[in-house]
Amino acid sequence: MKLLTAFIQQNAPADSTLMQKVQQTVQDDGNWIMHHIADKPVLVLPPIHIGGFTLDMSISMKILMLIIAAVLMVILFGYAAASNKKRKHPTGLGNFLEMLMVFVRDDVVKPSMGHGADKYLPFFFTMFFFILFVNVISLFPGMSTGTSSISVTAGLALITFIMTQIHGIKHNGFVGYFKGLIPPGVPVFVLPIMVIIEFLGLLTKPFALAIRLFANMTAGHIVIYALIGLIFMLGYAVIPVSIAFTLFIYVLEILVAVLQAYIFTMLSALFIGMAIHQDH
Amino acid sequence: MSLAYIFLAKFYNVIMFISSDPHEKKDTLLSVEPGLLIWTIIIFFILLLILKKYAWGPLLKSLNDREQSIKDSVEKAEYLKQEAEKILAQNKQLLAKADEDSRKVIAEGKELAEKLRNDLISKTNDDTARMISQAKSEIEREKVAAMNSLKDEIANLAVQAAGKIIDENLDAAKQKKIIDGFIGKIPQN
Repeated sequence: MKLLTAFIQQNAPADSTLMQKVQQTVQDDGNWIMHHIADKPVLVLPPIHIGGFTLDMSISMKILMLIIAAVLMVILFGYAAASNKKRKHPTGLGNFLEMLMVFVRDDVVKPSMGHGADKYLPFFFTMFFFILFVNVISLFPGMSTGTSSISVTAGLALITFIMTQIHGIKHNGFVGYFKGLIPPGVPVFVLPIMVIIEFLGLLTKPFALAIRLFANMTAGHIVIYALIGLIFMLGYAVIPVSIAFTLFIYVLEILVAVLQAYIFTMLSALFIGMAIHQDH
Repeated sequence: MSLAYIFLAKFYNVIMFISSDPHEKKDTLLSVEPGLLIWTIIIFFILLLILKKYAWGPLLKSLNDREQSIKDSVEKAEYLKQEAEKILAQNKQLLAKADEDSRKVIAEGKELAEKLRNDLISKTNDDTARMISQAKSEIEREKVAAMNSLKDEIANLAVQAAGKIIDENLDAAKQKKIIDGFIGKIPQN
């Protein structure tokens, strides 16, 4: 709400009352929701020119959220590691984080990857907790949602994609990996089609990952903004309904935040596992 | 159809890393900004490196150590339980054997005592019987000796009486009186 009023004060004519301002804004410019979903630059850096392309590497709100999540993770897990090292029985935060780690290890990564999962555990831990932390801190007031930007989720999906290819090639050899993509026993005349399908399959997997996380994290916020916007469009009478629904969506968002981290990690583990063990 | 086109165009942007001019920012949801994407990857890998060294390694190690120690403890407890059960069974066996042994010893003792008693009784009985018979024969002999000495005494008395009778010229009445007195002196048996 603070953001909303700030936005209104910036954009509405100076001489109107607050309610008029809000109504004016909402009716004139339905794009105010998008304004909150969209990114805002925090620290503008000069663009980098590589060849013919221009890269804008300035720190935006979403990147700030990612950095906050990362710093928080380093602090919390560093503390947990130090505290678990000291005593034989972990307590408090160390115990809680360790429980989550055991969940990721035994219920997410190991069932999806099969044997030999231990080597990849740090990667999946980082993946799961990074997405989880970014999702969860977005639920605090004044924070932005890092994962509601397609660029961020595309970055994460790209990491999974690259890891899948690297570990697949490492494990099966360059030729063996691409040969193994095509299921054995396929008749020769379907082979050209299969090659195209499997190659597209390689690309659609990370694409689906990126879109799924992005859409899930964005949708909830749009719905919450829309429900709050209803108050200004329809008047104060809808406040109870709006608040009730907002609360409902908010609680749902908590579930989604955890669920999406779980799904993203599980599918990443599945893809990398499939690339490594191509025989099944 | 146009939506699908926009979608594909944005995806093309992702793959080709084509950046639009930073000064004219498009505020659509699906525009991929390479800067943001690269930052995400950089942050992720820095985080991975830091956490791998300072968090995942130690945490996983302590976790695995604990799991191993729990596994070992359970196995050890299982083993000790088996050992204890074995020892208990052994003890029971030993106890039963000792019980049986003691019962046997007692029974043997009893038997021995019984035998000893019986022997003693029979020996005593024999002794008694022998002593009784000895005493009987002694008594008999003594009796015979007494009778003999009595007979001698009677004979002597008779001789003395006869001497007296001869000495004093006895008449019939006096004779009878002496004999009566004599007979009266004889003991009844």
